Amino acid sequence: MGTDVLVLAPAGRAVRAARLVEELFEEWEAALSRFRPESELSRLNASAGLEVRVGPIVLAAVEAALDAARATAGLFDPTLLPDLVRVGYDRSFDEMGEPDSPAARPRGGGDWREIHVDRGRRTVRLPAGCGLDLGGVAKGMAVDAAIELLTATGLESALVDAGGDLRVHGLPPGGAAWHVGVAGVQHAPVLPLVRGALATSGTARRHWPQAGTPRHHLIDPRTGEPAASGLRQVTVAAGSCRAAEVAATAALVAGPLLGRGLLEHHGLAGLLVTDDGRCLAAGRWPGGETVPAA
Amino acid sequence: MRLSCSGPTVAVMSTTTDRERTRRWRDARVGVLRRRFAIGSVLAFAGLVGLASQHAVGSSKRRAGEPRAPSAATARTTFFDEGDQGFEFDDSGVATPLHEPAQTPAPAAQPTPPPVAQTGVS
Repeated sequence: MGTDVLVLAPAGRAVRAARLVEELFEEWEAALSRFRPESELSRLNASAGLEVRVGPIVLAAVEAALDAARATAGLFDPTLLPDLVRVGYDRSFDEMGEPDSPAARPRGGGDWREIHVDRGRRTVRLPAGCGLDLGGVAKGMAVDAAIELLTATGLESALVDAGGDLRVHGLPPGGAAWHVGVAGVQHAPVLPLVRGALATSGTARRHWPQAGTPRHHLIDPRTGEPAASGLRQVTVAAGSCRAAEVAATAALVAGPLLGRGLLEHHGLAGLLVTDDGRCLAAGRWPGGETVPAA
Repeated sequence: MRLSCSGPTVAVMSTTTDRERTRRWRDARVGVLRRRFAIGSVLAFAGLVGLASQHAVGSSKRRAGEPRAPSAATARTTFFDEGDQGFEFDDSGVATPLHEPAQTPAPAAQPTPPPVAQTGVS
């Protein structure tokens, strides 16, 4: 998933916990990476238009992605792969150079409405021409799965952090909360997280020039182009990491007003950073007020 | 000597045939306008429906005859319904308020422990 994973667990059990989480992430990566030609997701994308039998990880991820698209009225859209490729994100970010100008016109989102999932037969059929990119939900799901795995082993407290998208279980030994810093914000508030997850979507990390035009990886499904909503970063607190991750992406695409409303509508909390550096708090975000971003 | 000359008054005398032709022409014109208005209304309504459907992001691109996934767009979602599994922050005052720099904590507040993790942009 192109990221480092941090596991915090009580001393004496941390090494085993880290090994379990590493194996889990490797399993999820093998199934869901669009950059591995042999992955289940790559085979599913290559068979668009046909009914394809899939394993439990892909099935769960596709169902979650469709649920996320419905919950956000399509602001989160897992079917934007053709536009991602069109703007140059056709290989892992570390391997990207400066891509050529796009030859095709923007396609835009909405293909998720035509995806057919048969849970009983464990099959998925994508509409012809559709391509899935589950990166916007898979990492959060893997973090959630890791926490559930560690909980099932009897661990009373743990934190799993995949590149800054994290979830906690229990409380740290001797502490009343997990203290988490927020990247990209001046006077960064330290969040005392007792329960739940945090995830951030932003344009600061995965961006590149395409024939002189600045691009990033968060595509607006309404236009098929990188989102230009007036927000550069959104951090969301939710009960699960997948919910936080999806909500952060949807809010960033939606923009300051609609994005904040979306978070509050779903009972989430968040910090939205505008292009000009203003911070807008949504829901029960600690501190609540605004502060200039770095 | 002043000379004046008024222009001739010309009255068009229409015959019964002329009046009938004019009435038929007017009726035909009204009919055309009515049809245009009806077509315009239908198109305007279709436009409104189109706008409404576009409001939910990503309009359907389904072609006629293709089966629609039965539940993809209409089923009730529970994605954000987390029940008791929601998030919680510690309200005991250890968080640094957003509107104050970290260097000037409230006098009564305990010092904020260093973070054990940090969010990151993805």
